[in-house]
Amino acid sequence: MEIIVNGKARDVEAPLSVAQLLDALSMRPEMVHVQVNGEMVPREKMAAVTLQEHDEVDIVMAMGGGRRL
Amino acid sequence: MGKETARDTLVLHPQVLEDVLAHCRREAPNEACGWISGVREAARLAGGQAGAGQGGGEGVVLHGQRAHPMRNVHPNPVRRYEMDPVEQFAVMRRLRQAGEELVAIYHSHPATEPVPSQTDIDLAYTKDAVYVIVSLMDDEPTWRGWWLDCDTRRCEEVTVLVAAGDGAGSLKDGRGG
Repeated sequence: MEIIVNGKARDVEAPLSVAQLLDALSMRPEMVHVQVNGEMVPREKMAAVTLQEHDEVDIVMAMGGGRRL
Repeated sequence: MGKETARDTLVLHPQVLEDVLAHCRREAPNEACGWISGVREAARLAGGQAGAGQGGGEGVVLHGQRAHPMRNVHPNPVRRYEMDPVEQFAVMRRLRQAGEELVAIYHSHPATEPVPSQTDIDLAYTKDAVYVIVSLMDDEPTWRGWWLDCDTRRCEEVTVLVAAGDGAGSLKDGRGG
């Protein structure tokens, strides 16, 4: 099936969860934030959310830092 | 990705620097954070030119053209920063439409040097953007740029220059303004 990842079409094998997509992209869930069709996918649900044909997936890297607490 | 070297240079449009410094000052004593968007180009740098090192060579020149201040949503913003993911998605979509990309990530160190902390390195998941750190510890802000990588523990300084006026002409670095 075809999905859109960060604006680019990508052919993937169904069924595919968000977590499996991240794994295929060599990304760990704690590294990223994911939206599917504009809806945020909580990290704890990434394995349970199954992507559908033509879904639009946006991925941004989690960004943070600072001094030790 | 991953070919960036110490020869690389981040050139900030003066308005970008002005916007970033204003944001950092506004948020103090909290840490401020945001994106800098623009374009990147591979460049053959002549010897003696900024970022070229002795004898010149290949390098990447990143042009920072717009600042995108983000909300720091960390519960302890005096010591930490965490960018609002909703704002990140919104900016990412705008950049996609504009044909720009993320070239740098900035945050402030209100009371310490513009040098990455261990936590900054531990959480450096983005490996193809320069981490710009602005220090407000002195009367005048200073800034430095870094390639960081949480996996390889890379922490390598990048030359940060500010273009004068229209983006051409004289350049200055972040130490001593």
